[in-house]
Amino acid sequence: MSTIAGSMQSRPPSPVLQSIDQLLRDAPAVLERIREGRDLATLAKAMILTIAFGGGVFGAAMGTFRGGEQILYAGVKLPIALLLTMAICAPALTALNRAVGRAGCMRRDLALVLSALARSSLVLAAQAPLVLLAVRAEASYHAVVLLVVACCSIAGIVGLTLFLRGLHATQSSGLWTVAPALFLVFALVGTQMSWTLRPFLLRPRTPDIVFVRAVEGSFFESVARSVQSARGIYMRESAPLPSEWEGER
Amino acid sequence: MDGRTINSNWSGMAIALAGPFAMGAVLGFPSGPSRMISEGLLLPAVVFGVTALMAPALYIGMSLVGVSPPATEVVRAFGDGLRACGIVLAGLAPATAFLLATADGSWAVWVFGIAAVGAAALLGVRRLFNQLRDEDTSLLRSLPLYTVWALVSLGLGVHFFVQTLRV
Amino acid sequence: MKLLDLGILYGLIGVGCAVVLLLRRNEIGGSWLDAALLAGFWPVYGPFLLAKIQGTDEGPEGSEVAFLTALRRARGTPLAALLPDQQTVLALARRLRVAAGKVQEIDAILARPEFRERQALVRQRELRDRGASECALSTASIRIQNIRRLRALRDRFARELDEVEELLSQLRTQAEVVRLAGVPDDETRDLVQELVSRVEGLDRMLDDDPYVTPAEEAKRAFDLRLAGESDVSGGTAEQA
Repeated sequence: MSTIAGSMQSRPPSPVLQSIDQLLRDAPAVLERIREGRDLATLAKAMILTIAFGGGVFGAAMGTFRGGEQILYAGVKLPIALLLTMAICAPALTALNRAVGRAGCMRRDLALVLSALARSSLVLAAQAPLVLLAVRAEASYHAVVLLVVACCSIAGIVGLTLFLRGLHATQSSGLWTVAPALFLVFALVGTQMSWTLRPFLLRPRTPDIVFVRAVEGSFFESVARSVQSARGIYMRESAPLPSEWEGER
Repeated sequence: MDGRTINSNWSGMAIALAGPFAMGAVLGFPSGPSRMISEGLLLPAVVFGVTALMAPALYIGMSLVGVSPPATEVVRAFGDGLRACGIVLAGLAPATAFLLATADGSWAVWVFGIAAVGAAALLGVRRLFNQLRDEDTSLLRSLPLYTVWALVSLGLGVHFFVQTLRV
Repeated sequence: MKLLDLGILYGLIGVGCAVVLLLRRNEIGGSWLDAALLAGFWPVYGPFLLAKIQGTDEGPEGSEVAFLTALRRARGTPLAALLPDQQTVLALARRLRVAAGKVQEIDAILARPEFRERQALVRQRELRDRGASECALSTASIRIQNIRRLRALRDRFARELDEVEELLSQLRTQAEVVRLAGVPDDETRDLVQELVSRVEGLDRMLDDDPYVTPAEEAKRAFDLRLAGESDVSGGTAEQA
C-alpha cells in the first residue's frame, strides 16, 4: 500500500497504525520523532491503544487459567494497571530530569515512557501463546506464576532498553541518576497498583470470581508478613488445611 | 529548556514553595484535611528554615577555603537548589499519594515521606553544588567542605521533618 | 481520605476534561476516542491533546516513515557507502514531510466551498449574464486561474511524491540485490543520486514557479479580491 502519495488518491493509511508499525520496525525513528516533538498526540494515542491491546491479550491469557469471567477481568485490568501506573509516575520523570539539569519536557518524557511501555506490551502479546500453552498443558498454579513473571521480565527488559536509549539520545548527563530513580518509583507504584487490582492469575479452586478484591493492606505489608512467616512468626491462628486445597492442581 | 540555567523568576520561586506544600499535604492526608494543611505549611517551613540556617555557614566556609563565588551567585545557586528540591517533591507527590492511599498504618507516611523528602533534598543539594562549582574550582578543596555541610544540613532537615510528622 | 476518595477525584477530573472536549469539539477538534482516553488517562493523554489544540504539535508524520525506513534498511547493506550522511537524510526526510503536508494543506483548501472550480465557473457565468463590470469579471477569472494553479501545484507535488515512492521501492529491491551480490554497481549509484536529487527538488518546486503563491497567500489574495468584488457588486446594486 502506498504510504506517501497513495494517500492522495486513495484512503491514507492510519497514522495510528503507522506509528505502531514504526515502533516495531524502526525504534530509532520513533526516538527521533520524540526528540523533535513531531505529532506526539498521534504517537501517544497509538501507544495507549497498543498498551491496551498488548496488555489486554496477555491479561486474557492469564485469565484462562481460571476461565469464565476472569478472562475478561484480567484482560481489562492489566492494561489499566500499566496505564494508571504510568499516569502516576510520569510527572516524576520530568521532575527528575529538570532537577539534575537535563532538558525536561513533559510531553516528550511521557511519549518516551509510553513508547517503552507499548513496546513491552507488544512483547507481552507475543508471549501470550506461551501462557495459553502452559494452561492447556495443565501446568500447576505456581509454574504458571513463574512463567508469567518470566514473560513480564523479558517484556520489561525490552521496554527498559528503549527507555534508556531514548534518555541517552536526548542527553547523556545525569542519566544514571534519573533512570534508577524513575525505575524505583515505577517499581513501587507498579507493584502496589498490581496488588490493588488483583487478582490476575486466579486459582481454579476459587469459588467466586471478583473484579478486584477488597484492599487488604499493601504489597509491602504482604512481603513483610511473608518475611515474618519465614522466621516462624505468624499473624493468624492456623494455615489452611490440605483438604481445602483439593481443587488446586 | 536548558536545565542548567533555570530562570530565577517568580514562577521558579512558586515551584520551590508549591513542591514542599504539595508533598506536605499528601503526607498529611491520611490523617484528615486539617493535618493536610498543617503539614502542607510545615514542610516548606522546614525546607526554607534549614536553608536559611545553613546558607551563611556554607558561604563563610567556602570563602575561608577560597572557593566561594560572589554572594549574588551563591544566592542564585541556593535558589536553583530550592527549585530543584521543589520540582522533585511536586513530581513525586502523585506517586506518594497513591502509595499512602493504598497502605494501612502510619508506617507508610514515615517510610514514603522520608524517602521522597530525602530524595528531593539530595537532588537539591546536588544541584546546589553543581551551580556553585565552576571549572576553576578545586574539587579537592570544595568537595570535603561541601560534603560535611551537606550532611549537617540533611541531618537537621531530617530531624525537623520527623518532628513535623510527630506533631 | 483513602483510595476511593482519590479515585473519585481522579475520575471527576477525567470526566470533566472529556465533557469539555466533547462540548467544544467543533472549535478544537477531537473525537470520541480522544474523550474516552482523556476521561480514563488524563495525566497521560491530556498534555498531548493540549499541545495539539494549541497548535504546538507538528503535523502528519507518515510521509517520512517510508523514506527513513528504507534508508535505514539500506544502511545494513553494501549500499551504505553510497547513502548520504545522517544529517542529510534527516533534512531530506523533513522536505518529504513538508511536501506531503503541502499536498494535504492544498487538499484542505480546495475542499472549501469558495475554492471549488465548478462554483467559481458558475459564478463567472452569472456575472457575465448579469452584465457585471469588467473588474468583477476579471476578478472572477483570476479566482478561477488561482484555483487551477493550486490544483496544478498539488498535482505536481503528488506526482513527484509518487515518483519518490517508486524510487524508494526500487531502492529497497536494489538493496537486497546488492546485499547478495556484495558490491553496488553504477545503476545503484545512479538510483541513490536520483532519489536524493528528487527529494531535494521538492522544495525548489515552489520557488521556481513564478505564478504560484503558497496556499495561505493564495487564500489571502482571494479573500482580498472577494472583498473588492463585494464592494463592486454593492456599488453596482446601488447604481441599479
